[in-house]
Amino acid sequence: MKECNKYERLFEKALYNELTKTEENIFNEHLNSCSECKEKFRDLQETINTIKKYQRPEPEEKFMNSFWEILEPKLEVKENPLKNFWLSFIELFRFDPKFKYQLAGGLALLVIGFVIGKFIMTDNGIQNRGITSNKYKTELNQTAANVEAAKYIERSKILLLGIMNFDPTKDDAETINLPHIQTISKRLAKQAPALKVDLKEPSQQQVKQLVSDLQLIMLQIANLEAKNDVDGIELVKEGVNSQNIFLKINIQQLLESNKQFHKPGVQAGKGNTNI
Amino acid sequence: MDKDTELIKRAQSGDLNAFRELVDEHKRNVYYLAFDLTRNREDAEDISQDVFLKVFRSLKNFRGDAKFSSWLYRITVNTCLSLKSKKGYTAMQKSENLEEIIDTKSEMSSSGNVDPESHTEAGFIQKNIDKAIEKLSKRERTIFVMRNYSGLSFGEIVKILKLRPGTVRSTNFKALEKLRKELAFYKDEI
Repeated sequence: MKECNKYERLFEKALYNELTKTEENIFNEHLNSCSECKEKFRDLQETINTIKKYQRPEPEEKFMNSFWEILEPKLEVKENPLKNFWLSFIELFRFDPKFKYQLAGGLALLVIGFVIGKFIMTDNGIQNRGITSNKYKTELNQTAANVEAAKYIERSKILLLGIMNFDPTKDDAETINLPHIQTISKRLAKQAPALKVDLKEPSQQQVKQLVSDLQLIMLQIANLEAKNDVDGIELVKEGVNSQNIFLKINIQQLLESNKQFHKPGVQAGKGNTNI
Repeated sequence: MDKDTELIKRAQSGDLNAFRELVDEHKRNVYYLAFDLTRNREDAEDISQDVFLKVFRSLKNFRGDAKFSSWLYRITVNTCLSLKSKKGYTAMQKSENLEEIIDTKSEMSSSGNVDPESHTEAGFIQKNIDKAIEKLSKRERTIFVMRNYSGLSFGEIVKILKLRPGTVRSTNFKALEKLRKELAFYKDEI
């Protein structure tokens, strides 16, 4: 029997006439010397013949003939703006993870505002650095835009992590709650253009590019077919992987945290007066 | 450049007529695969429409790394899998759906498409094949149907399902072995 197991892998190839000449010779030689395998092979051939008796019914010609006529209107489905407005409105009052992140982002903004107010906006602070009023404004705008961008990137990252961790072979498509993710994606996609306008300094071009990349992905998610678009999710995942989005996000966040760490104000706050 | 590639390029640049040609070219095969996997006409019709809708929405992301038909079949299989919570793969587990298939055949015979006598036998064979296939796992059934009914090569199935060649071959063989046992009683009647 052990001997026969060696030939089993050839059974399947033989059934579909895929044996090479050498394999065929070996296989036939074995069948001629083993009645058990010979019978098994004949049985499998008969099984395939039986199965081939199955005749799938042809599709209804009426359906096939009107296939395009049924499909075409679906290709141009437009979103109902009123429905979207109400969805967004309801969304505002729902305490969900997104809201927590917004809250956290808001608090972070307050803390940064406090740091800026405490260590930069004081007369001494300005004088010490010899910053002119215009330069100061630019720096402040830059900081605010960077903070907004950091928030935007963090929220996008969390949303994408949810999608990337979804495995259609293990998870039920409904557990991912795609409509909810789409609502958030739509909002993020809408926020991006204004944010990009604010990111105008040469030093902000890298983060601006990342925001653009994320905006495209958010649009892609927002345009997925709601509920169970497993393929759409797979395509988004492929896009995220192929563009190394997570790598870019991590680098950006690392740079940002590095900047925060080396900020003159922050250093001053730590008692470093060597500025 | 093959016909599909040319049509995709045109469709990607917004040519709806090119997309329509793609649909016309592949709609029947998508329907057949969807039917073989779900064994339900209505589901197969809905799925084939869904598949082309998804293709349309994702067409811009198709880079041509794989054959268009492979991509299309992959979307079809996934769409069938995502139907599991409704009917889809579980359809065959309900006896009424088996009857539905037989009834479909009755309709065909009454409309003169199939000889009534051979139909009775065909219906009987069909019922037993369905029962046997019903006992296969989801993966076994998918691979078995793609290989034996849709006529896809092992190489194509490997690309579509993104599985190892050995896995595809051994799964199909396992399915065949199971069917051999299930249909053994039938052997003498063939």
